[in-house]
Amino acid sequence: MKRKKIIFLLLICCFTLSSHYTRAQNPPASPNAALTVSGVVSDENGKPLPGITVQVKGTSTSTLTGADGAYRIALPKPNSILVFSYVGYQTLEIGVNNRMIINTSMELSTKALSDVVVIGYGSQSKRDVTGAVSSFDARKLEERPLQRIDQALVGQLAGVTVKQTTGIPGKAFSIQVRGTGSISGGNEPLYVIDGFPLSVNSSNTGNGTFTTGNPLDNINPNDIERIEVLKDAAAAAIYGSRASNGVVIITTKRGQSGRTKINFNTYAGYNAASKKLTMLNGDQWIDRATEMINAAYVLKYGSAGATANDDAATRAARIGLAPGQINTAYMLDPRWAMPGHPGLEFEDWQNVIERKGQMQNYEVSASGGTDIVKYFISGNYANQDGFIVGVGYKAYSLRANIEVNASRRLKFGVNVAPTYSITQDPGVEGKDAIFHQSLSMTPVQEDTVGSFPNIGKNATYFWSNSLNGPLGKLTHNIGTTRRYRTLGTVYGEYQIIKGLNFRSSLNLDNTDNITTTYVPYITVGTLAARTFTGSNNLLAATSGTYTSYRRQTFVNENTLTYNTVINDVHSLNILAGYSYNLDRLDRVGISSSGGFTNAAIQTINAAAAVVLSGTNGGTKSVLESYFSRVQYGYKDKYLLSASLRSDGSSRFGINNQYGIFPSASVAWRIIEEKFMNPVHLFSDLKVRASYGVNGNNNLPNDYASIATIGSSGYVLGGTPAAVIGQGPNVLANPSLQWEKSQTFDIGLDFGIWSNRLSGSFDFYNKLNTKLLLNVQVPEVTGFQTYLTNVGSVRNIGQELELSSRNLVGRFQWNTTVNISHNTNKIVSLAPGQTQIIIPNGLETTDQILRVGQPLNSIYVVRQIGFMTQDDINKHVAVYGTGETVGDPKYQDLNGDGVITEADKQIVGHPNPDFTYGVTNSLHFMGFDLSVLIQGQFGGSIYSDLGRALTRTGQGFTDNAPESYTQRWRSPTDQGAGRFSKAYSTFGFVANTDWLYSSDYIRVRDITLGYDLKGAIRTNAIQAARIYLTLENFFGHDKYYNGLNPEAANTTISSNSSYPEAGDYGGLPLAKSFVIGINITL
Amino acid sequence: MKKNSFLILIAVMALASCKKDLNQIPISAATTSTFYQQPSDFIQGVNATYNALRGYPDRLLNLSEIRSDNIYGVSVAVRDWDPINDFSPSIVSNVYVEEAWSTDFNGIFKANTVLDEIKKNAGFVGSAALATRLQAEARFLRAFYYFDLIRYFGKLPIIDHPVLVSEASAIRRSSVDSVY
Repeated sequence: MKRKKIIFLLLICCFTLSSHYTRAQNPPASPNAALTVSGVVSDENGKPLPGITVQVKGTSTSTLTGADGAYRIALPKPNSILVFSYVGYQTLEIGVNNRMIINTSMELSTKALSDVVVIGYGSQSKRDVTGAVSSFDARKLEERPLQRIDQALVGQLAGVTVKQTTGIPGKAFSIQVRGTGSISGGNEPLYVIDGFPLSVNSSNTGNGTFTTGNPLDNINPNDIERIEVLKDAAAAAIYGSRASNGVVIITTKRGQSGRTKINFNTYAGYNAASKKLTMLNGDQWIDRATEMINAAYVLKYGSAGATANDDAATRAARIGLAPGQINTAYMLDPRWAMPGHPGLEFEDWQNVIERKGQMQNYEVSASGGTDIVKYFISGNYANQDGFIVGVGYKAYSLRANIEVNASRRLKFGVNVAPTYSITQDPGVEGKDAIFHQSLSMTPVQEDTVGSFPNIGKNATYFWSNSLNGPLGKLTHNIGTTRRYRTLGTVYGEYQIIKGLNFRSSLNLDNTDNITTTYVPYITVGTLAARTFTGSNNLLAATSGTYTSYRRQTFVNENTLTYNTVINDVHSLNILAGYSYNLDRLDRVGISSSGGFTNAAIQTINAAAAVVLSGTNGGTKSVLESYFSRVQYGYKDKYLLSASLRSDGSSRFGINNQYGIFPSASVAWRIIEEKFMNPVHLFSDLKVRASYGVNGNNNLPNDYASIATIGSSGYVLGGTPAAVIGQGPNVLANPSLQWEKSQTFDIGLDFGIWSNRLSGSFDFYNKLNTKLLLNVQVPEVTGFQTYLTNVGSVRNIGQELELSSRNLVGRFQWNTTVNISHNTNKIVSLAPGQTQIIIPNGLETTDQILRVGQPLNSIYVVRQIGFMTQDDINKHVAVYGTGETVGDPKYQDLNGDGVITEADKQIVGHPNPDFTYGVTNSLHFMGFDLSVLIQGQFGGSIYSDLGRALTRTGQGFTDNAPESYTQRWRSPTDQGAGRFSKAYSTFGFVANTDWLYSSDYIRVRDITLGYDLKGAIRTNAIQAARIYLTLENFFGHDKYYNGLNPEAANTTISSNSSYPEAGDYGGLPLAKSFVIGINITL
Repeated sequence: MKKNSFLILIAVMALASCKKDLNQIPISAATTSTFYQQPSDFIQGVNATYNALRGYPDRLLNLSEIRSDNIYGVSVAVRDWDPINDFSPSIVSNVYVEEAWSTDFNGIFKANTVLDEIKKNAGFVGSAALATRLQAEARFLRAFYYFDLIRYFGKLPIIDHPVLVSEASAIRRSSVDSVY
């Protein structure tokens, strides 16, 4: 038994990479000879290190160094290996070698993670990587108040743009790698978690939200150890058909052999709105309403002698009303002019609905292991009350990653992560949702109802708009989403012969999501409808819905890898594999019809009747793939990698079900060349180039190539009764296939002054062809569009990542910078087609797809000032009839004398030209400070929120932003130049008054921490830290009349073939302040 | 060794692949190949043809009556009917005009589809009387949609069977008389 153990130990020793390894000698004759080794452990400056774990390798014998760095350990046999380990330091293994005293020094593990990079189906040393891969160390995420991984990736990696589209806690962001290349297909990357490729899911209703889930839902960011993003085709091609938008590889924490580490991390604090849109206050609104009402009154009755100074009685008489009656369109409220406005209350609606929401988070994890078993187990509870009343997010997650070395050849493991999250959102973001209504809500209300106008038994103020008070809706309406998700992976690895490994894994991702909403009648309609007259049924106005989806993804992957080194100079790694993916989505949606029968019950069973609503039914798709890759290196100097993948998917037409995705990349490690030896400036220099073909199969519909039958019912019969009608609802296309993207990338990795400054630069040219596009067809076919592969888009860009250790020594200062530049351009659309104007569900179009221009360019009429009397006399081109002095003047692009749709021009594009992130971290005497600043510039946003707040021809009841006080008031007071006069009658055309730059800069994260280890001298605690984090506390953007320049919450396009999501009432991002403590036992 | 044969078994099972899995039939939707097999399917096909009538009353208001004195539009160039009301020359991309063309031709398509299917699958319709009745209904609706279109648009392409995208652009507009 013991002999086997020794042989076993010897074999382990053979595979150790430690530079301090010495070959084991014959075991001594006597097994009972005990030896004691002692010594002192110090850091690179000679200071003694207390609390270091000293362990005899392969056994559980261990001890800790004392306050003076000294240790003493008894060895079971003389030739053991001692393992020195400590959180934050590089682990050392030192062979005893018959010594009695071993002193050693340990180095900080600043670069411990960056040496190995996870690529698809394996990992590679960073020096050997030939594609464009960016890495992110996620170990410090537990100190940031983040609920999701996409929040953590903001501003961290070059080429990876996270669009922060929403302010609801726990709700998904949209991520783009190297620009947008697809029009109808999705633009989200493929996420792979511990080797499990999750089902790609894009925002499939075009409104910026992920109604059937996002791959990162519920995953606890504290479980993540590192994230790699495969950006170019060569790195990503191993994932072939789903990789054209990049691949994000997430690796969760693993246990290491050694003493068990128990980590406890908790923080608490608050979050609040990071920005407020100042609207007109009570006085300013009254000023504007007075101007508008007087203008309307004079316009209509001026010929009869009406003037703005007429009092209420005169006006009533002129209009023809009985004395005491009011027509709010032409008469003022006499209380406005009275000092102190008796009976009226001024409300700032954003302040009414916003609050400081509490945040707390508790995380416990245990990791450790022996040479046989390694484990990482964690549990987390997160609770964030939103900064809007009634909004919140709670999440519970567990994880167990266990790996077993069953024998010399066999290894297997299991990763299981069940999670559960609850989001409270009574319908806050989006068009006609609560936040939009709180911005439009009239700031002047009767003081008898205060902040609950038109709710319950309260009436509406006559001069106010007829919305129901937002605070009332937030308190009484319910919108709850419960999401239960389990991710599970079971894998096994078997070494067939030396260097040849077979690995197989079974993976299952199951998400169950239930959303229930409930709107009681007290927050709906008018007071008259809510008043009981003796016979009406008040509960008929109550409504509720129940929608749920279940998404299951099952993946089986099998790979064979062969690793060898021939003649010491040729290193070869060959991979071959087969994978089977099954995706299934089942949806149910029901809503109440005819109200509820009971006011006490809020679940759908109390509905008078239910009808199917939304999408019901199931869809399924299957993906089958064969892939292979060869990596070759000559003397570690000349590197070559090539891969080939064949994917077959059920989503595509019979004629084109399989796609082939090849790629190749080369790299030259210049630093290894002999001619570089005298050049001491560079510590690392590598040039790489790659080319590959990837695919995008992300359609919103699993059966797009088949002519499905849809329902189109009707009502027939003498006594009208609904009948079922069914007819084809789509034109079939049996040749439907993948979108292909071809990327060419060249890159340079460098390190200067012993890696004091290191980084990489990439240039890429990506062409997406055969775009899944709903091409407009002649409507005589019965349909307006037809899905086919046509069209191409090109993305060209540059990325720079830099990392520098500015100051080393007692005061350390490190900086990392990432900058990306991206331009995209439509190369071609359908043959003969030069542009597609995206149809708009809100009356006038504002975006266009035009060959030679960026995707979704903003296409509106340009406003060039205001009309003067001179312009009217000269008959300058106007829109409609009724433009007078003070109304906006528009540019007549085609010179035909009239402003029409034909005068629209491209005035900007939504994707920013540059995105950047800068992280600075400082260490001094146990204190550390880290600051992340990120931002973007070059893009524009066309704010549909303007339709509610700032449209020409808008009535006086809806509120307007405070910049309205800078409107045009007279020919001598032209204001700031954006808004025309308050009262106008000529209607509305989409123009540049809603156009804003989407540039912004934010101090995304400031973390200040203090290492308590110096203060707490006990061996029970390995590390302890307190910290304070501020997220989003400082920032500036140019979206002057909106809140979040990246917001996407409403469907703007009326055609789902050309999704266009816009901002029509999005929340600002949350700013948070938390204090926490992080202890490792 | 036992372990090796087990591995080979797994490999074979995996490779005995599920190629037929790549031909998925929609779980919750019928397709043109699975539908039109029961009498009720044909009845529903004709009911679907009626569906394009839904927009007819609103269309009369928005494209026809709005220009007369029977209706007074209180909005001022803000809503979609205003350019029609004002006899504006640039209504080619107006939502209501678009809707008329696409909805009526969609109705014509559905009528053509049902007529086509009745001819192809005559055996499944059930009874000859039902087939005659359904064909008559479909023909009437098709003529009705053409009648609606011709008064708004004048010359029209005559389509009497479901056309493919490639054929559609080749069909020219026929004179008003031939459409009648």
